[in-house]
Amino acid sequence: MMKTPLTHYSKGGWGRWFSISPFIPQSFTGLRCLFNVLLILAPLNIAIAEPFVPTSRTHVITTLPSFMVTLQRTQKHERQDTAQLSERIQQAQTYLDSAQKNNDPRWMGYAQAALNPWWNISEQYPKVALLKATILQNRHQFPSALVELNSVLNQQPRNTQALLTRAHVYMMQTDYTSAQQDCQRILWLSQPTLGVNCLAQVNGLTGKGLLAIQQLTQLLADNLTLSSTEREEIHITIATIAHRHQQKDVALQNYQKAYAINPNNGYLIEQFTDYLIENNLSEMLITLFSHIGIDNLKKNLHQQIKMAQYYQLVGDTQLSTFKSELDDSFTSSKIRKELFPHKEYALFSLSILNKYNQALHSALKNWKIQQAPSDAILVLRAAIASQQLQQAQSVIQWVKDTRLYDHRIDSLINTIETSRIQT
Amino acid sequence: MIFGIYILRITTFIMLFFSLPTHAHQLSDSYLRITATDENPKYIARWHLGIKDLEMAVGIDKNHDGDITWGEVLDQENTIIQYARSSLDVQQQSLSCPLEISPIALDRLNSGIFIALDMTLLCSSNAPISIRYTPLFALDQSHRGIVTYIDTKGEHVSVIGPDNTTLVLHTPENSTWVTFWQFIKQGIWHIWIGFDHILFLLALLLPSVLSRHHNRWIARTNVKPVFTDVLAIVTTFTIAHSITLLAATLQWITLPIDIVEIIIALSVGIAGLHMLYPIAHQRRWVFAFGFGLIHGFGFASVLGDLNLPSQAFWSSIIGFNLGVEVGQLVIVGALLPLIYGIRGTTIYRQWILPTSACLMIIIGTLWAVERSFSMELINWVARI
Repeated sequence: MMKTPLTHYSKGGWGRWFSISPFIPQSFTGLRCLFNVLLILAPLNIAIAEPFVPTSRTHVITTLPSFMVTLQRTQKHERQDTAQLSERIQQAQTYLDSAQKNNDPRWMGYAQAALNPWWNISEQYPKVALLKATILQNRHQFPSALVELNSVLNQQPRNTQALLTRAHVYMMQTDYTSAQQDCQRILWLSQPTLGVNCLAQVNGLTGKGLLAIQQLTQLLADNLTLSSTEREEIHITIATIAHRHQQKDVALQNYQKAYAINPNNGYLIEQFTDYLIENNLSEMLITLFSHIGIDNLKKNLHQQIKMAQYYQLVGDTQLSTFKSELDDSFTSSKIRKELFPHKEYALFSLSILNKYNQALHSALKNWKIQQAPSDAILVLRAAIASQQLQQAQSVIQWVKDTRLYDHRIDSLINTIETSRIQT
Repeated sequence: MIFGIYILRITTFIMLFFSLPTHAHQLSDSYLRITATDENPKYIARWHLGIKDLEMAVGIDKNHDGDITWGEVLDQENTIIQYARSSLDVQQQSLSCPLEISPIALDRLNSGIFIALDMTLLCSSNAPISIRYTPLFALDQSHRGIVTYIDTKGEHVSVIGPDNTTLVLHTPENSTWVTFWQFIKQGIWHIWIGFDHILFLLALLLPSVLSRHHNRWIARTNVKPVFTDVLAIVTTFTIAHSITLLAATLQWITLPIDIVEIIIALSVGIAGLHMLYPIAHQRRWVFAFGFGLIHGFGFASVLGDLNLPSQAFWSSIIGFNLGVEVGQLVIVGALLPLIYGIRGTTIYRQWILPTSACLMIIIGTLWAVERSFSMELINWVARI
């Protein structure tokens, strides 16, 4: 009997069998196949490695993101118990910028820690409340984010930043009338570029997408002095609306222009990769992935899933590695029992695991939290895949109510309605 | 149009807004695994701390070149250990248990590279302990400590966050059904890792799709005799090892485990030999029964190591035995259709069957030698 300590998996059992496998000559493929079957059926405990000690002092363990190096060099992140509110706000802003620039949501926790002494009394400090709203909104805690934003706007009704953030929260909650009112107020506050872009985003979601594209294209042409950040935002708005309207060339050009300005915008990358996968532009997709880099891709679950989806499409063996890493991430999130990424889990279950009921369950949970076109697509796809068409009803109704046009959504709804007629 | 600095700041903010809402969260976790033992020390632990987290907390990359080398980690070893000590407080009956921390090592988990700290918690007794866990919260409010506590009753996972930094370690009292289920899983686990049992079973099962005529293997034409043959082998093996598993666990019969293990190893070799020279092809169930009795003693030694809970003694034994059966049936279920499908091929009769037999003889013999002389022969041969 081989006794194997329960916590040291790699030393006994199948691990030992691995050491026997060199006995089997290469030519005995049949026998190897038999053993492989057994090994696949066995629990894959061999993946659990034991701690190790590198032999050389010069062995590079990991490479830090450049932002972290800069931060450490300037030591801006240092906890300062005596720090003033203004310094902490500055610090939190730096972390939020980092979250965006590096497409790494981990920095949100750092921003929260910087604001911690004022976190529960944020209503007294509009600047804190605004940053807190951004963090909460990032965690999909939209009602709480709205409480903070309302508090800011009660004290500072002309705070454009708060108005913009609230408009976007309303958009995620499909309260387009309120979103439009906030965008309109921004326009009145002499912020035309912001206002027009904001209104175009609402129009793009309420059946006036082509008009929005036209207005934004005109805005770009008329204002050559726009900042690169403004141009990036406008290109993204045009690209996503054009993407929904199947104006492929317009979408591609604008995605490319926005990406050329800022290659680290996570939202842009998410939409752009969707576009490339949907249109089978695999060469461009490979270029994009290689440009982003594997380490950066792994910072973000959504991008990891897209990468896995690509590997699945082309039949690459790296799929299994990505799959197991993603599985691990979701297990970790489940253990945390908070901020579970339902959208990504739905996408993973649907596209990679082919577990359609699970995908639908998560897609519907996500739909209760946020209602953007991509969330609707996920519910519709999962409902079709799991053959539970009635579960898509709330989304179909939402599309009718908002008059949203998205060729992908239309095609999915057509499939559902055709299936219903046939049955 | 006026586009001042304010607008630039705002647009940066919009971008931030847009880029983040649909993102999933790859947040910072550390993994602390505490095990209660029956011996001294009473508690041991392994703590995995993310290297990037430690970089932010204590600063490892001193030359700021972005590469963290093993040398830089070693230079900061004392700081890291001190940081770990200051952010983990273990208490037992209101007294602190000092932490004895081994030299640091690295560990690669799926979520990245971690510093692994092996620790002994110097508590005076095996009374329950509580921990106060505070690393990184001052820097990162989304950091969580994933704490796994293991004792004889099982393992229990808890999550520590900045709002609940103290945790009393315990595993919930298990109901009989939970214990039963846990032992079923242990049974399945032990048939899988007990490769000698599987190999013995395989040696008896592989010829079941064939019959013997004039010293030659011929594929059986229909499934019924195959099924009867397999059923007889599996059932007799089960009955036999159940008898001795029970007898040994209740300490009615005790055999020296060293001898049992050698006989188990030999049973693999003998079963392999019988595949080459079948003297009783139709009566392989007799082998299954005879050696099954010995294999049962082997299972019993594993069960003995698992500290059977006295309050759920019978459900544990029955659960474990049932688990072994389930594990066995999964193997049979996976193997049988495969070999039934290829039974008529020359490859199976003239190549797979004899090669498997030879391998089983070799492995069984090597195991027997290993176990007789306490050697690591297989690893040694494999290295050559």
